[in-house]
Amino acid sequence: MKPLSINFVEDPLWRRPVATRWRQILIGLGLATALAAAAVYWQWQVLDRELAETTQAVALARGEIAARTPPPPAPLLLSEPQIVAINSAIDQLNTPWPTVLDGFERVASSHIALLQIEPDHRRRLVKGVAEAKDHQQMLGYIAQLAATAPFAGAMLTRHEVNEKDPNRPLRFIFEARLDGSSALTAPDAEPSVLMK
Amino acid sequence: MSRFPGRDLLLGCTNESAVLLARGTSTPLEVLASADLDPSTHASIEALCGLVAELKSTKTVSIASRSALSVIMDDSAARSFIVTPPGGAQGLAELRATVAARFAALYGESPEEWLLAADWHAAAPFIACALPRRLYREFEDAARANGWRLVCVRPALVQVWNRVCRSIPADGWLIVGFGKTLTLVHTLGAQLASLRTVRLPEAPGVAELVELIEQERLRSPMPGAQRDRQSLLWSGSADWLPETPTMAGLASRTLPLPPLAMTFVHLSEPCQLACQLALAGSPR
Repeated sequence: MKPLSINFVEDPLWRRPVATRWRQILIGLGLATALAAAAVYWQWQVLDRELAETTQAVALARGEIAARTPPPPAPLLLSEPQIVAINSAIDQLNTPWPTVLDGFERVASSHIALLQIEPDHRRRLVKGVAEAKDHQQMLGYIAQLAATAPFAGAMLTRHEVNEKDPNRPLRFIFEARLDGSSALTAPDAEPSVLMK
Repeated sequence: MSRFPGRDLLLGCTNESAVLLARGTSTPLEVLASADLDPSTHASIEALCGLVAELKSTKTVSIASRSALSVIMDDSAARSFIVTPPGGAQGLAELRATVAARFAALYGESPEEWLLAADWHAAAPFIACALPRRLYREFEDAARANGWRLVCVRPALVQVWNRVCRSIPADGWLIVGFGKTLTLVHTLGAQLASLRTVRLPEAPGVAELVELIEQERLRSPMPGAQRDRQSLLWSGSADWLPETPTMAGLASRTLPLPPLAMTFVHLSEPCQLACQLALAGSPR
């Protein structure tokens, strides 16, 4: 016969026999679930802590990068008159002076005194002031200038007799239009005209 | 660390006496306290509670705190009975309710005032025991007052059963005798059939024991083939346990507990019985 398990003193809970297999299975499942829940909770805590640390590190790195990076230059904002003035200056600087002067040199003569030349880049022409002894010489000069490169034409705009000069020369103002190949820009000049 | 390690406390209780023994591996058995009722006093649970209450003031200089206290009750002070579980019983709660109902049916008392313990089994008859809650609380109070650990409270039947369980016949009787209390457990086909505790008026002789066995056999008549297989096993500390190989036509065997040492002869007879019960709780 088997020993009797009779005792009026109740065993502590952890020493009581597990009555059935189902109870053992349930206890096992409960323990496994508790362990899994604890593991998930622990992992969640770890991930949460790592996320917080990463966020803090990213914020710190952003601050350092911002501190090291120089502030961007302020955008250059020009007004329309400024742009026009700059473009005008660039056009003047790009005037093909050697070609223009070569053209004037080719038509130069002892009967014509070229007093002044001034480019007008807007109108693609060169204004000039010269003196001649008479009208024939003046018109001949204009015609010769119109046929000489880099000019595509020449036009007399005004003429008068210079009374101040004792020889009383004929002073005239003309406009010589530049041809399309030379225009006001030198062939090897870099395009640097600012556009609005 | 305790200066007196390894000493266990054994408390034997009858309806008329209580004896507390200290037993160690390297120290001799020592009577720490003993108390018995005045012969003129009627034995009762209240009187036994009073005896146990006297143990609270036991001088325990040589006993370490947290010592284990085992209590062995005389079978007449506790109540033991057989319970057959209902068919399809599920769960300990149902078995507990069955034991409580069985107790109420057998003794006509409410089980509320009794502490019930059993060798729970859902598919076979099992032994259940009952102890007055008030007496159990006295044991707890005595242990708490002295800093002891109450580890075991059992009837003598359970203690003796566990000592001789390998020798208990599958068909027959286990008869446990202490003093004038005799408990018969009838087994049938390796299962419990009946249990009865008899309070004897005086120490029985062999003829009375034979008559008792005959009566028991009449209470549970068996076919001839099964009757031939039946046998008797006697155990306990009573000095009237028979030593004959046969009794009432049945094979008989006796496994008595070790006799009391001469150091206990100065105790009263009830206290000597309590000593025998206490020693039944000690390891062999």
